[in-house]
Amino acid sequence: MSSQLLIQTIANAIMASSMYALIAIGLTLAFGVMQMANLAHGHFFMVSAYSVYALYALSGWPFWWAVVAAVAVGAILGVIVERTIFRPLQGDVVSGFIATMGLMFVFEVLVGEIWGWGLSRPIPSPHMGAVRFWGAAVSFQRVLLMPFAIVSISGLLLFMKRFRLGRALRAVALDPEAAALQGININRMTALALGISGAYAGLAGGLMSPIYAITPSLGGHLILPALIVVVVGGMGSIGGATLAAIIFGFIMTFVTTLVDGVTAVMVSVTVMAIVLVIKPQGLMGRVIA
Amino acid sequence: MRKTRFGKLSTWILFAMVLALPSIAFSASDKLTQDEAVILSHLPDQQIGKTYPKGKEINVGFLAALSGPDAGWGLPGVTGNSIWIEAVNKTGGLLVGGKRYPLKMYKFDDEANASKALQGARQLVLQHDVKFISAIGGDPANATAPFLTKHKVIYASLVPTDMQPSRPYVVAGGDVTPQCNMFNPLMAKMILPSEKELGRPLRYALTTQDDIMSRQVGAWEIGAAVSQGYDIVYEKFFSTDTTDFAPIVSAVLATNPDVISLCEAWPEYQTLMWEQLYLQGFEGVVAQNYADWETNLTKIPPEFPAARGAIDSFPLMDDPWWGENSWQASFTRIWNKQYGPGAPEDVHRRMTGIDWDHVVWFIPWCIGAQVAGKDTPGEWPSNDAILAALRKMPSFATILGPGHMSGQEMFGIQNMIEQPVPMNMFDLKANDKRIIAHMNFEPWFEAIKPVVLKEVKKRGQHWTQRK
Amino acid sequence: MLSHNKEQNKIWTLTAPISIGIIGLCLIPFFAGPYLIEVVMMYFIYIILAQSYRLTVTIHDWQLYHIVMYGVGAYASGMLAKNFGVPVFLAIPLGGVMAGIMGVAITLPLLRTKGWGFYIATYGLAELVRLSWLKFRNPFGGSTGIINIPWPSVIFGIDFSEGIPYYYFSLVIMLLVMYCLYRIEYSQLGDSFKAISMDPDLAASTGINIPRHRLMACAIGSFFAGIAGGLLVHRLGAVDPKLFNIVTMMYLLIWVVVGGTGTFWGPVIGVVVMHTLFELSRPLIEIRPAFFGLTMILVLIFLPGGLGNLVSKVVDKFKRLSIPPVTETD
Repeated sequence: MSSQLLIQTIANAIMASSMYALIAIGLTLAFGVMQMANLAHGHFFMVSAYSVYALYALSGWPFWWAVVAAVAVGAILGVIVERTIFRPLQGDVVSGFIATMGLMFVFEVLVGEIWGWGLSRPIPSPHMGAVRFWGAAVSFQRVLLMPFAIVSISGLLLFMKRFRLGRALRAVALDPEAAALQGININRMTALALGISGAYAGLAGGLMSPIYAITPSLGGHLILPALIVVVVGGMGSIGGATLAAIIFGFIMTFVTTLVDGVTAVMVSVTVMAIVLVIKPQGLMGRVIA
Repeated sequence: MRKTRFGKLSTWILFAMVLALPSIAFSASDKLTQDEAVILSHLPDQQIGKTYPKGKEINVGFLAALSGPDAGWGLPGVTGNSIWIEAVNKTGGLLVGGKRYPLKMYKFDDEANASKALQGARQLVLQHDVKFISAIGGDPANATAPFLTKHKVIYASLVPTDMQPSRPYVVAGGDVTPQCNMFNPLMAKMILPSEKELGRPLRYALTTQDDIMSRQVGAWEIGAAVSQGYDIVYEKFFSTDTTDFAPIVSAVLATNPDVISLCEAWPEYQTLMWEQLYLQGFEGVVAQNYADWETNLTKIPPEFPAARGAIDSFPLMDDPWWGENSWQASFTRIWNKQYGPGAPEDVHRRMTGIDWDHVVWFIPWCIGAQVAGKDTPGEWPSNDAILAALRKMPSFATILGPGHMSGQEMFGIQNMIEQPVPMNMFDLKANDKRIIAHMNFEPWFEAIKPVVLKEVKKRGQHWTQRK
Repeated sequence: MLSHNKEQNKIWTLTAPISIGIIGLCLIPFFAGPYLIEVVMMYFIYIILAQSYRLTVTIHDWQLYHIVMYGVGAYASGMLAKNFGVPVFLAIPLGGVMAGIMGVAITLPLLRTKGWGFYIATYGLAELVRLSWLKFRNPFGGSTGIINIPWPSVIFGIDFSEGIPYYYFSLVIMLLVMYCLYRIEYSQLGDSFKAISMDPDLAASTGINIPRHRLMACAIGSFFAGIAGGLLVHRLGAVDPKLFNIVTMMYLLIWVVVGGTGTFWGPVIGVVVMHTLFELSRPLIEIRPAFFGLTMILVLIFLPGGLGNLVSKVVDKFKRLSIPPVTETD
């Protein structure tokens, strides 16, 4: 590999890692607090991206306000789903899995009916240029992701450590029964967790809407890599998800560049299997009793 | 079990909301419009206005993905076929053998899945007795071919590589692939400096998604590139799950190509690839099968594709080349009136190539029926007779110009419509693609045939190698 | 002894409806059009898939590789028949064996993995298999897949490439598979399986070798999934990797979860109800997935335990009304 290509590939890999990280942190938070997977997380992303399309591309809102709206949309979706799906299911993991699968279908059809099924929705790049450094070029829109990823991850970690609500969330994640005994309202915490999770999905969707092809099936493409990142990192572990995001971002990017995309997925999946065989709870996950 | 009442209530509300989804309105008018008369003009013998006895309803099928992730490829095709059927039925039906046969379309959602496609083929033929099926092709074509051959039902695929001698009723050609792809290296040479000037052969790179059509079309395109003296420096297929194109474009650019062909890359992929080409600073020529400039130009400035040639071959129906009074212009007007913004069946998107791609074969089938029907008055002709009639005609009307049946050389069977191949380039003034030429494929192919066939066979993509 | 009494009870309540059902299925080709026969055949394949899935699920966990085992059986059977001339009636069970081996190969390293790590790891390893079909064009055909897969040959003058003979062939296979699974369910092996699924620690303490039983269940379940694959591929005549992707796995999960795994008949009910709903809702075209998804959500929220549980409760009520009370506790 020439040094030019190497630098470009490293730059691409860092961008890919930021993308995985932004998508994964919301998911892992929901996992940690509810012990249930929100398969519709990718679709929160997709719906938020469409919100940016509707507000920014169609109605002319300034881009950053559209992103704020996307965050709100994600948060609202998260709370609604918690109320209507997760709460009635009372911790039945499998049913939660299947129910969110049903949600995926519903969101796809809603979005397709409102905004059309053919081709992808064009979202103008608000900043249409590249950042060049050391011979590598990265789209400005992607470079923006990195500070957002760093700030949102550290922000979430800070929130969980220093703030009462955040600590309450951690308590529920660690031991729901003990937390309930302490007087923490589990329902409110799960609603909060899914609201924050949805907000992160919204942020990711909003920021990345100019980067991806916006189609109703976008959520489906994103949820599987997100799940792999979350599970390998350790469910509920934000640090683990970040680490896994970096690992898979680099693997996918380098192998795709050197060989091809299918091989990249095969390598990623093998790495994932090896990690899970050696450490079933993930890189930084807690051992399940 | 403790369940919150509110939880259940919200679930019911969600249910009700989805049930309240707006239902599709039906079109109102009954009189044939001027535009519809224009599009019917492709039929040699429709005799609009003259009454004839009514024949039975002739059913046709539409077998493609109508829901789910692949719906973008199938669902839009319904509009074009519906427009044609509506126009024909307004005149009383297709005039064949002295009777007017109304047309009716039955749809089946195969979700681009081979086993569902076979189920769909069975339903369409066994329950609805369809004579002609519009489909996308690919894996579904493989699964349905034996059954449809047995029942002699024509399967009009968008994937020309589905055609084989063992499938006498699989037809294609709507897409003018791979011919249009094969012209890419030729067109690129018009823009690039010559080998002599550069002191080295020109370099060709090709990358597209890995699916049946792309594999075969890619082989034909590479063959054409080799015949034009190019060195092939990159030839790889990416997974259809790819969402990040940065590494792929980096890999392509590392080989220093003069031409990058995106071949059959789907619209959503080609947008992201163009973006990366721009960001990573490609300075050569870009060619492809289908460019979507409305979306692409939201990510890249128009100067970039203008400087790259930006060759593609899916023409716009409202390209001024056709002319205000053309078939294409009429079709566009009808489409916008029924499916455009504010229309009764507003599909909330602009017209794509897929909306008219299936009509390309549907109309010639109707033409063939009219011609064959002269030999069997009072009866609807068999598909064998229809295909034979079409093959005998030196020329018949198609959407892209005068066409004739071909395909013996490339696919072993004369089941392909050969039409003038439209080639577009990006036009800065129009901020969109514009037709710059219609190419005549067969004479050119004659000259380069041996080289091309060698490359196609080397990749195992010739029909004789498809076991 | 508990299991034998239960078995007698079940036979009492089930023999009549099952016999009627089987006779009905045998008679369908005489009354239904050729299209309907094909549709019912798909139900047979799906029932085999769902029922075999239940076996692997109740004893270990929700694995996500089952559909790829379906694929392994399909590819293996297809390739054996086409490339090596193995007669179809032999190729299909061999395909099943291949799938069984693959199922064990995937489960073996993951025996100690639990919960979400297990689900995702099984999905990942299965994808590894599926992607190798995609990547290695030789011999698997890549994205193009394999075509010209032979139909079963003519035996005793019956041409099994025709719809009706193949229908009976699939019916017989499905009934055999159901019978095997039923016998396993109510055998000593099945008791061990149930013990493990209810309380693994207690089962281990009674000397049951848990890993061995888990692998056995996975092998049997995957074997039957492979059989289903063989049935599919010799009907289609072609195979490609897309048939075995996550979307198909999603449908399988839907049938099994909606039907419920608590009862033996749950998956069958799930397939019949959900797949019928799926087929009947075709007129909805692009809206269909939303309708389907909503139905899933509603069933899951309002009918925990699935439809099988519901039917079971109804049958129990009926039983209590018509049969004198038995001394054993439920």
